[in-house]
Amino acid sequence: MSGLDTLVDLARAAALGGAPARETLARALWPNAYRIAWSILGDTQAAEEAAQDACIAVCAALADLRQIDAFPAWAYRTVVSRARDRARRMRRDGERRAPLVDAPTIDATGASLDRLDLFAAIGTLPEWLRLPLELHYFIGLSSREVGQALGIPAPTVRFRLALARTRLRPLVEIRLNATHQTESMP
Amino acid sequence: MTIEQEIAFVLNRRFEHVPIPEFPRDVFQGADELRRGTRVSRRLRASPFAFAASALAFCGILFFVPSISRAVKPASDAMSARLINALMAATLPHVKTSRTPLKMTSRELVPQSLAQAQRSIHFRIVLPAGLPAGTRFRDATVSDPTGSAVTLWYEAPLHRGKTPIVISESRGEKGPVFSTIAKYDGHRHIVIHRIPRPRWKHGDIAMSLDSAWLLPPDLARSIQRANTRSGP
Repeated sequence: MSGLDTLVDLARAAALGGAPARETLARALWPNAYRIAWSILGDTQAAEEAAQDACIAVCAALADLRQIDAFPAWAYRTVVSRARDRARRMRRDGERRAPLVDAPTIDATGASLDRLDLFAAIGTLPEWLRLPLELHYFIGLSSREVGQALGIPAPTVRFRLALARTRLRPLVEIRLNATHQTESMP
Repeated sequence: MTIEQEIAFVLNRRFEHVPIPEFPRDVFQGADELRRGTRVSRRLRASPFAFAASALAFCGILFFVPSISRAVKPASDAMSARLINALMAATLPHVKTSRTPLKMTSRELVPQSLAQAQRSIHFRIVLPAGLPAGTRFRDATVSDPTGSAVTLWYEAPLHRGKTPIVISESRGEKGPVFSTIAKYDGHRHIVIHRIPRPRWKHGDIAMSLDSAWLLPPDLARSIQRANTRSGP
């Protein structure tokens, strides 16, 4: 059973159950909600607040959700919108936004040099390319669900994913070639 | 390893190393309180008290807004003038505009009695002669703020109604020879008529019959003749 299926089952239980079931659901949603919020905001404190707001809002409005199967897309839509609201407020208030590449929370110990390049390349992608990539490849949402989460059509999601892959392809190919050469050496 | 697998791997590594803070405790207690508060406010919104309060507020707005707008209007006019000047300067810098707020070029003509008008006019107002029987004086308007021109309004019982007879008086200037009248011809066209304006002098006061185009031509001529004959 994938993580998303677990999330749907927990949501179904929380819709029927009480506060403990809601808290279990929120705890299951929390890590990835925090990661997505951190990816948008680039600030741990702000990401924590946005993710917390989103988890509370999701659990509070669970009764309004008609199709429980659509829970992951709906939940991540809430997370993305809360994080974007927070980012807008930060920009308005003039709060400094830490650059993602230099964020001290990334500990890439053990990663090879070319992987670090890929880390940096993903970090420097613009948000409209990075978010579909993360929701699709990391969270595991389909392109339709990513579209629902981001409020854009599924073909647009597919186009953005393809564009992001095109941008990252040179770095990946360099790494894959290097691995291949290392393996073929006597 | 394909590019998709590589991206997924790097994303996993990227997020694995993001330290996740603990899920906050007692967060749902606050959420429940929030929801209870929402329910209370919804109940309040649906109550007759809320309807009555909003109706009262609406009536208050209807009553206060016109009076406030009357009070604010002079200031807002000056602010609009400044704003328009700034916009003109920003968008069309090659067009020279005035830096100072523009003065009002039109003003309200206040109907006055003859005695009131005489107080603000530098010359003695001349009463015209030769007006048709039954004509009565309606009012006078000071048409020049410096007090050098006045317009007298009469009402003559012509055409089964009250036809206005308008006579302008000014010191020195005679005024235009024609009255220019724009009329709709009933077929999508506006026709411009230029009608001679009867003018005469009474000493150094120039007088003209501005509403000649409303009167029968004979009457306009007879008024001019009567005033020309009865010179100073």
